[in-house]
Amino acid sequence: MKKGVIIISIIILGIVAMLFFIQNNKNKKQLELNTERNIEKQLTLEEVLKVDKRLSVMRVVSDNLYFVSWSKGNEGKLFDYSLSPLSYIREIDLNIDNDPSMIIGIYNIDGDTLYFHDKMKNSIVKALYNKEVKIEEVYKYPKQFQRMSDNSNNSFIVSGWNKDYEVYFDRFDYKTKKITNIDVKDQYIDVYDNSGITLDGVYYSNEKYSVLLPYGVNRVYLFDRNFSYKGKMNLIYGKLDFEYRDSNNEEIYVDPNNLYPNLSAFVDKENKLYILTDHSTQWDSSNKCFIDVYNLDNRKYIESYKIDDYEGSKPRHIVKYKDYIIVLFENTINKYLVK
Amino acid sequence: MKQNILNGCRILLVIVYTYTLFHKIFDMHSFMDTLQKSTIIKNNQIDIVFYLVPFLELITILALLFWNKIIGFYASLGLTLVFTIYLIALNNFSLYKGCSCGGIFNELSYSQHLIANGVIIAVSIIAIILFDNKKTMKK
Repeated sequence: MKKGVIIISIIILGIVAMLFFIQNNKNKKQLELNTERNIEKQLTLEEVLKVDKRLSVMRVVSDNLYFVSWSKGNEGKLFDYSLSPLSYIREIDLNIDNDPSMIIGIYNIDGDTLYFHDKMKNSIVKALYNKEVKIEEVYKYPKQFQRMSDNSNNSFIVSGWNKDYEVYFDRFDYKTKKITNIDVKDQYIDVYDNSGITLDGVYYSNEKYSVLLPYGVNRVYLFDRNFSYKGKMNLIYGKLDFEYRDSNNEEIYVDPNNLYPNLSAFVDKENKLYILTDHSTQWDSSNKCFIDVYNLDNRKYIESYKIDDYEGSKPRHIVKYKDYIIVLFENTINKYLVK
Repeated sequence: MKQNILNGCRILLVIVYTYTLFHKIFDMHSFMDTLQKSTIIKNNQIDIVFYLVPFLELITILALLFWNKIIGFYASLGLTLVFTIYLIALNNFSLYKGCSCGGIFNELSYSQHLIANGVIIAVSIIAIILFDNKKTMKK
């Protein structure tokens, strides 16, 4: 009898103590909008294509969709899909050496030429692909880099962080291999510790702009296609704290409670920037995504579309194609009509 | 028979706690890494948890081996229960899902880990029920 009471007491005490601990430690960070979202148009689901592997980095080139997959067995491969109708076409194997550690970061398709970031080798690779893949050149970048933009006249923005984790931006000419620093003046950057990590994000481009969208900052950085810095544009939500954890050793630990609202983006021909924004908190994350649309010319917010989770999965990447928004989920590629 | 079951429970718990304790001690970096990535543990609590958990595991092992066995079983029940609730919270409400039990436990999926924890809780409760304060347990 006495033992039963003690066992039940331990169980109740353990549960109550942990619930109190969890409730007390729950991170309450969330996005605070500076302006109400203008939601007039709806997304109507038109097509769904199931995929058998976890795809990433969705790109659209004419009527085709391309992806990489970082899942096992797909190292160094691109996957080519048709947009109308949504269907699988082929894989493009860029892993000539069958290197199981190969990771393609960003890639850029320009006709029959393909440039990609080989992350493990810190290299920018130029390949030709038509019927067969031919690696033209592997250029090992002289300093560690994290991101690169689309190519413009065989040049790229290459960015990353130095040994003090401060951000740098380079203009890199692939033909001459000339590297010049791009001066990006923004006091905002100085406010953050370890600006290189804080501003880590992805470049999105069209004919006129290359845009750096950091994952966790309410601001995008605009460059023209000569890769001169053209200024910044604030997003519709307020500034987020981007914090780091105290650590006794040299390693930097990013606070796991930081929010990363900017999941993915796309720049269309009309210089509109579509940002897939995740309005989740650490503790409430279902059906919290929106596509926020901005005008890059006047740097103003235009409108938003609500995008719901699909089969329990949060949207991961978006591209705009004609009147459609293509959305990549965990297991499907969905095509939505905007109207 | 009862005594054999009790000893079996005790040996099993000692093995489990010793295994996870040694893993934390010999791979402290990995343990710290897990705590740093936890969304539930605050920045200023990391060092406390870093030392407290192995300390409590050590106390449990010592109690089960040499000191007061019943206290060891109660401690085992409390420790695993608290850890299980932590794991459930982490997996259901947070983006980071991790434990640092080490070795084979790191290979377990979330549901397998919950089953393993359930077994340890059940073993602790069975041992408490079977334990007879008046008799001395065979070591």
